Amino acid sequence: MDNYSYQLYSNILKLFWRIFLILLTIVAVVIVFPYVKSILLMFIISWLLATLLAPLIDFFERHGIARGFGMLIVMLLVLTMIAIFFSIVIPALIKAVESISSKLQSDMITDLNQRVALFFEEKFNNAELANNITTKLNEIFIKLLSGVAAFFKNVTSFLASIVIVPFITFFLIKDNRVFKKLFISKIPNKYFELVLNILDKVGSQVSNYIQGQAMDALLVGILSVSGLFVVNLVFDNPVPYFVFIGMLAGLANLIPYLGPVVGAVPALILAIISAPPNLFIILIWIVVVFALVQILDNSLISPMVVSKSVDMHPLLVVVVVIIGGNIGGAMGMLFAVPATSIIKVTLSEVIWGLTHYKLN
Amino acid sequence: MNNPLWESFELQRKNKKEDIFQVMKQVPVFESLSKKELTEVEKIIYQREYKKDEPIFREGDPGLGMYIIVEGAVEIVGEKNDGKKQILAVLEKGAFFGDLSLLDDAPRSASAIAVNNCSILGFFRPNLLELMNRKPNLGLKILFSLSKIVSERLRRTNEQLAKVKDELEELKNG
Repeated sequence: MDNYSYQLYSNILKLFWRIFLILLTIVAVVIVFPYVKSILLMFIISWLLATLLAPLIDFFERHGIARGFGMLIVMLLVLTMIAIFFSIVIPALIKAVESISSKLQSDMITDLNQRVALFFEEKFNNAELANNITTKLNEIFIKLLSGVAAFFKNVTSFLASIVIVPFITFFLIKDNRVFKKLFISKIPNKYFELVLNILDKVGSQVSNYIQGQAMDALLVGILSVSGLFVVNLVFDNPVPYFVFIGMLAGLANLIPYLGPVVGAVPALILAIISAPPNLFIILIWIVVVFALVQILDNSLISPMVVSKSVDMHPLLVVVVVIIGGNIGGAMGMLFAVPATSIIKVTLSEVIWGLTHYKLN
Repeated sequence: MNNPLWESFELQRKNKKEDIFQVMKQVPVFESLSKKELTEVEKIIYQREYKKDEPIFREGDPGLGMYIIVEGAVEIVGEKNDGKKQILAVLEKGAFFGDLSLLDDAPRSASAIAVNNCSILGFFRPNLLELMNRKPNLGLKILFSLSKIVSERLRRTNEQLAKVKDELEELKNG
């Protein structure tokens, strides 16, 4: 075998091994994933919490409070929040969702079924077709609503079982530097500065993004709740559970372009179900409230708190939200855009690093 | 309960830390820091081991921070216009280099290569920024020391420039 053939053979062999290892890793991840899914989720939640809480601990440290004591204060705050979440928020959420579901099933679907049946009988004189369609519609609605209720119930049982999250969060904050140093110590000298640089850039951008999104969701939630509160005050409570609906709007705001619609629709549906005498005006008020919140968010809140470096094309948003929905349901849809943003930031920093460092 | 093995391990670790403190104290950036403050800085520095001829960084790489030599020697190598390498300096134990990269990410003006097996401490800009966020007083102390180094270099450069100007004038006037 001549030198050229030997080189070609060795390159093909290397490539083969590389592809084989990648495939093996993918298979291993797919096999192992179901078993580590819950612990992975715990780590993600803990990491999010740690990212959100770290600035608070830094703030305490900056003002002369020892880091350990600052952590103690913050952890007590987290435990209190979890206790409130379990004892007040989650039961209230389940009650609200179940009540909305039953209302929808009893009033709206029956009404819709009757209208559809009537429409088909009138237009096509086909009672069987009407019956088939209404049965199908019923199935879809019930599936959808039970899905929403089950989602909250699963979250509860999941959250109830994770007293471990504060534990992980504590150590993620406390030993953040130790973990980072340990990881960096394993990096070969050749890539040391590159990895350190990328890690710091990605770390700071991602934590800014997460903190910004959380602040944005909180402010949009508060504004939506306040707006709906005003609507309820003026029109004799046409939107029940407005606190839940408003906070949902804040959370849905994590999904750009689609979020605001997702936030407004439940409020409109609830108002329609309540069927107040001046329904049309109330609907306009609700639309105006959400439009105002969006204007405030887009012109004032978002530019101040959310990083511009993670802007995404609307088409990409729609695609990743659909993929997120397929992978992880409602949660997947909610976190699809933030997760994609994190991947986008990481990729752009890795590419920057690879093009700026001389590695050969 | 005293365990001789553990005690010996602890002693070694303490001695190693003391060595690092001694080296850090020689560096102007850290000379004004108390032991407590040095301990705080020591938590965010990285110790790396380099083999003979291994590059620490290369000319043109984005500047990330400074290095302090704990053991061994490092040569600073520049590339001339004709592409030939030129050794600008050989630094030994206690010396530091790349300190201006703590202030900005301008590309490295020369390469740093290990002359023999060496142990080096790295102190980087993101960590300094993070330290300034958590402990502004300590961060200010380090920044003040850095600005003293920069102003000293600027003064020396100005003096050299004035000298070169004078020499040029003399040459012009014959």
